[in-house]
Amino acid sequence: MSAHSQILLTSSEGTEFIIDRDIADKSMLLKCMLEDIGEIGQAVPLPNVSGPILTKVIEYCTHHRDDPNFLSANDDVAAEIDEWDLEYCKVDQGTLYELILAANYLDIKPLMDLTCKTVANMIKAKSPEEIRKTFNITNDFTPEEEDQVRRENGKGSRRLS
Amino acid sequence: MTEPACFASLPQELQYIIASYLTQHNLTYCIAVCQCWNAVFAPLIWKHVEFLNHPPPTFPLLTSIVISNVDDDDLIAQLIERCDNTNRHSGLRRVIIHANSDIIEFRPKSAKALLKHAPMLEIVRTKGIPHFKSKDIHRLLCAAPNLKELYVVEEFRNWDDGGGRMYAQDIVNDPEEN
Repeated sequence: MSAHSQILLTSSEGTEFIIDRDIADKSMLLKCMLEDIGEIGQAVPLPNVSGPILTKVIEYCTHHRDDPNFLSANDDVAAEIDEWDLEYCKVDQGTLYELILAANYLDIKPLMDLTCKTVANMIKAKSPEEIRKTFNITNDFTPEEEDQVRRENGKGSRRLS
Repeated sequence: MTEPACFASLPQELQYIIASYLTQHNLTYCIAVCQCWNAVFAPLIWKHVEFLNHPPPTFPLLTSIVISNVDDDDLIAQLIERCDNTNRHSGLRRVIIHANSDIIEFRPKSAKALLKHAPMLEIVRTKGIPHFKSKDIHRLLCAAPNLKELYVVEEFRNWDDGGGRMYAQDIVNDPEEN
C-alpha cells in the first residue's frame, strides 16, 4: 500500500469521511486496526463519534500531519500550548468534552493531552465560585457542608492527626 | 451516544487525567465546588496525606476506603491498618485502590493489613498493582466469606504504549464504577 492510500470512515449519523492513510494513522485505534485487517475497501464505522466532532478531529490530525514529535509533543506537563492548538480548543464546553471522548476512543494521545490540559486550565487559578461560574454549576452544598469542606481543606491539604 | 452536558458526565478515568494536570491547591478548590465535584476530586486529595502522630489514630467508623494515586505501599498499609475492626459494626466492607503508576508493589505488609479485615470485606477492587499476587488473592478469598465482588486488574499500561484502550475497556466492564 502506498502512503497516500485513502480510508473511508463513517460517523455516528452515517456521514462518510475520506481521509488519507497517514492521517488515519494518527489514531492508534485506526492504525492498529488497519495493520491487523489491512485496507479492505469498506467504510470503518465510528458509532461513538459524531460528524462535527470527527471533522474537528481530522482538522487536528491534518494540521499535525507532518509533525515529527507528534507522539511526544505534549509529554511535558508544564509545556505551553502552541498558538494553533490554543485557537483549536476555543470551542464550547460540550464540544470540548466530546473531543476528549473521541480522542480517548480513537486513541490519539496528543489530542487527549491537549483537550484535558485545556479543561484543567479552565479550573486552574480559580476559586470555587469562579469554577462554578465557568462550568455553569449550582452550589448544592448546605451551609453546614460548605463550612465543613472549608474547614477540612482550608490550609490546602488534609492532615490526619 | 448521549452528549455529555458537563464535566461530571465524563468517565471517571478521564476526569482523573484532567485532574492530573492540577495542583494540590487546585484540587482543594475543586472539592468545594459542588457535591458532584467533591465526590470526583476528594479521593485524589489523599495524594498528600500526612501522618503527624505516633501511634496513629484509628478510623472507628470507616467501612469504605478509596485510595487513589498513592504510590507508596507502606502508606496504603498504614491507611488500612488505621481502620478499626475490633467490633462487628466496624471494619472495612469496601476497599478500592487505584494506583496511578506501575511502580507500586503490594507487599506482604499491605496484603496482611487487608487480610485483617477479610471477615467483613464485601468489595475489593484494585487496579494497577502488579504484585498483588494470586497467593494473596487466594488467602483473601479463603478468609472473606462475605466477599461479593473481587475486581483485580494487575496490568497497568501507560497511554504511551497503546494500552489505554484496554484500560478504558476495563472501566466499561466494571459494573459499579461511577
